[in-house]
Amino acid sequence: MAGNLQNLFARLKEKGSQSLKGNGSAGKRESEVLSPFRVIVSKEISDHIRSWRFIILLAVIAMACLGSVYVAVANIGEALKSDDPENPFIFLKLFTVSDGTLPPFFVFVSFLGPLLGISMGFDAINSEQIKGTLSRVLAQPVHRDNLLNAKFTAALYVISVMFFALGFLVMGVGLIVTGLPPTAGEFLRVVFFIIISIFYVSFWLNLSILFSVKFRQPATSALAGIATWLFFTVFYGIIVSVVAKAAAPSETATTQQVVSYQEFILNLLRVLPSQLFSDATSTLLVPTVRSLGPLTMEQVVGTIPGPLPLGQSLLLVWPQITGLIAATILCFILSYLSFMRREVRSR
Amino acid sequence: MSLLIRKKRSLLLTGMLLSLLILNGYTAVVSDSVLLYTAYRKISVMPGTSIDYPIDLINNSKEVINVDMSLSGLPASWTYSMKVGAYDIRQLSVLPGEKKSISLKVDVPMKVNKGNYRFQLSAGEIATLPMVVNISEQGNYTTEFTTDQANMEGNATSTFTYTASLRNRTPEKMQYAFMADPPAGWSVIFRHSYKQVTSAEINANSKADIQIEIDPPDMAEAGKYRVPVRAVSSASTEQLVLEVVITGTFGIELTTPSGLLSTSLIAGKKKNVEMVVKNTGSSELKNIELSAAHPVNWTVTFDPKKIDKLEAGKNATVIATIEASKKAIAGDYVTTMEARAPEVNSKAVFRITVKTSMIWGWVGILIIALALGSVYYLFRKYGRR
Amino acid sequence: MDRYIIELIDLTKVYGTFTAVDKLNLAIPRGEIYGLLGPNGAGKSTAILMMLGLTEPISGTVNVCGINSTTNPIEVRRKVGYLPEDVGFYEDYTGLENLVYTARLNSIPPVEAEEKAMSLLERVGLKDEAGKKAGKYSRGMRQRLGLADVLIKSPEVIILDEPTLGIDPKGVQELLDLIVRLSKEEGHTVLLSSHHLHQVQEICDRVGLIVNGKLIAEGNIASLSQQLFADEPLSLEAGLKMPTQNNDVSRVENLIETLRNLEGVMKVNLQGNELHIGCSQDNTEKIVEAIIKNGVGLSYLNKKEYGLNEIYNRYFEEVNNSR
Repeated sequence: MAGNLQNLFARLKEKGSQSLKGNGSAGKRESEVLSPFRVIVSKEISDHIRSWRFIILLAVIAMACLGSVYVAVANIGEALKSDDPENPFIFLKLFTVSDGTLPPFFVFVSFLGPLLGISMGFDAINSEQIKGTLSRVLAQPVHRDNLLNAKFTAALYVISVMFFALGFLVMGVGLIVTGLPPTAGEFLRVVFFIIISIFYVSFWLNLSILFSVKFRQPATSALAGIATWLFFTVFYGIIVSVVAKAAAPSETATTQQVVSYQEFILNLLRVLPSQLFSDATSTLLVPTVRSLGPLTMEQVVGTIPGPLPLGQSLLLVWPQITGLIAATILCFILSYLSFMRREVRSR
Repeated sequence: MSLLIRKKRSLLLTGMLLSLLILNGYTAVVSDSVLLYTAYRKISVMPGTSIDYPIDLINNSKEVINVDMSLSGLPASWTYSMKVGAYDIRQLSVLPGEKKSISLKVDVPMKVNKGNYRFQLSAGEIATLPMVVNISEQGNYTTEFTTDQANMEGNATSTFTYTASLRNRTPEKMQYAFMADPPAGWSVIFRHSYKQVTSAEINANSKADIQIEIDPPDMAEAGKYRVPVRAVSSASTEQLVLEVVITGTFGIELTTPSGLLSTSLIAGKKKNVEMVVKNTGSSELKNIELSAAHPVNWTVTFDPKKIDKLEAGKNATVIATIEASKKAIAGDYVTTMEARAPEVNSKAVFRITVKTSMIWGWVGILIIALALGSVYYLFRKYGRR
Repeated sequence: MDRYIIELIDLTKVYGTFTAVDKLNLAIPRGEIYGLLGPNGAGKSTAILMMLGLTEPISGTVNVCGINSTTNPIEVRRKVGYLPEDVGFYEDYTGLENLVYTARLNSIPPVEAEEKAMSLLERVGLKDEAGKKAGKYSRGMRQRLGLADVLIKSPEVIILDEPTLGIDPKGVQELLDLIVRLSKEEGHTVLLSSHHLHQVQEICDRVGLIVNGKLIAEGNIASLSQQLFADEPLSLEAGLKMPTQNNDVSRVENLIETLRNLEGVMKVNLQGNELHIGCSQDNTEKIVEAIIKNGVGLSYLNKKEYGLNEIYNRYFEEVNNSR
């Protein structure tokens, strides 16, 4: 692997210098000699961008987000008045404020992000298999994992660009509407929010890539992805509430019992990637959130309400972020293993 | 005396009897039939007083009498007037068997020596009335500026209020300007009828109460201070010396060397904070105890816990060890520390920003690293295909 | 080692309990057109996948161009052009774009890739369809595009897996001609797998026959029939007028007996009213004489030499019978 990497780097360098010296003549695709990995990535990116599926989803997400930002802008004055003056964070309000007609930005992301991830990954491998291009591509001097990695990288790249564009769009709108520049802290919080959103979507992306490796039919893997999503968003909540009812402590229970019960239910919910995501983003976007679980009186006594510094907010949701990243990597590992162990035959 | 009261028509005996009678305080009877009477034969007054004598002239004879009224033996600077109703009287006529009331007013001047002054009122030659005025004190022509309590004691932060009386003993209305000569940094305020004044007008022969407030600087050293205050009029300058005795002040301040009253702390961890106890007073403080009001399950200990002695103006360093509860949530907590001496105390409100432990952060990073490591392993194992 | 551009030594691949490739040995010299023949499921594709390093053998080694395909598949794939069975293309891309993409995966600069792709499209006769979406190509066009796709990396070896599958006979002929022409022009070594013997027969220098993962015969057509039918290279088919009476039946039995005793006759087999006679030497005259002598009517006599097709069919019949 190391030698292989070195080799790759050496080639990259070579190609890099070649491309620097390149005559710049216009080809169909402008870029010069790239490593096969990057060739696949750039092809996948252009495929994504040109696909109707992505364009439609992008339009839906962009409209939803702009709608929520519109609502936020309309309500930001009230939100600022009702809040204490020590805690302005106007920019973050753009992502969280709503009057109830439309959910705020981050809720939209938590709802539509999985759809985006699933739609970008569900046919990553099996459609190549079905079209018969898989064995042809793999017969080229390309490492087999390059294809999978490139699929993932390209989708991740598109998602990242899209989310950063949306996030900065919202910030730009906020800048125009409020006329106030965001503080460095707010800016970083938004950037972290975007990064976590990308992780969240990439979890779903990897899950659907896993399905696309496992199931031969794109329709099956798309259904599997959507079923998982539905299970997590709808049915899991129902199951948890049933469990919660069954496990509810009696009225005579001590505070300790009630607290541990609530934590238990919360932890059950935290199996959900969407719960992890909304925990993480709401903490980042609302700096006054200091804890995500139930608090005992002992913990509350002596506290002064106030925003947390960014580092502390991050540390607070670090388990959630870790969970998201780990789940993402786990899905990736599974799809990687499954793909690499599999024998590539033509259709 | 006997010469004075002798009348043209009286007998020697009668005169002797009269003297006897006067000496005994009996009603003066000059003749059998006409009589001058007053109740106040001898009175004692202050200089500058006006004495009103009610005098009765009684006619017991069977005929109308006509008498000239006169007052003799009065010192030159004294004045008098005799009135019946609104009129000055020189001569009186009294029907038989009746009496007439006269009011005699004698003005005692301000400048008069202490002692007895005798004079007599005569009704023609028929009757005389000798009178004595005793001047109880030496009369003068000055202003008096006095206080009953010229010495006060207190600490430097208090205000000393003296009450002085200013008495105008001159016959004229006077304007007095008040001046004080305190040590530098002291302030002196004069009040007259509760108003802050720099001067006051006082009628002749009357007095006013003047409050003098002396406010020493808070940092004034202990000791005895003399503050001369003066009431200056066109005629005279009266000085009154007030004494202020400053006892030591007590002051304490609890703070940090930088004055910054905030710190940050990791939940469940200890942190030492250097605190400074300052004796801001001018007296030594003893037995300063340090304590803290902190959130539940926190501990705050001080080293030393108690300062036995702290001289005026000196600082003592105390290390406060704050240990946050393991369950403390991230964010700001408030902890109040107190340095308490028997006399004074000082509180420092600390804002403590709790940070959560990085341990779980590292665990998270470890988990991610493990996941990435397994990806790396997979790349190694399968990457060459 | 250098003499053989493809060399398989004791190559074995097992899926569960099924042995797909069983100790396969194969050596193909440079410049040869080699046909790998075998029925579906004989292990041809598996062997090819192992040559490309797309799957790993249980034991044995594969060397292509002197490079071990198992340990260094990337280098092998750099030198080998592989046209998979029923090749697919990105349907939203034009034929040209598909070729350029492959070229760029082989680290050919874009401009050069385009030039090369155009010239190859011309050579495979798709110049006019270069700008057409690959999804609109017919099967034959796809195979030709596949050939161009294989050639664009200027390979030393071309491996074609069932290239003629699903194409009409005219298309097959054109494609095979194209393969021969291109490989001869450029001096490629070609490995061709097929289960259509007569197609392979026309263009292959040598043929290897794989059944159940084993190479059972190898060589040119003549040597192959020598190997497989060393005992009976000639075969006669005699159509008999079958008698209806009982004594006539005994005549036929007598005839068979007679024939079996003839010198050079290895095997006599009656199927319906057709008599199959296997001979080691040409003694048709004596056979005809024997038939007539025995009073059996002869309606026709067909003398045939064993072609690959016959070899193939015959062999598979045996395989199928034995199953």
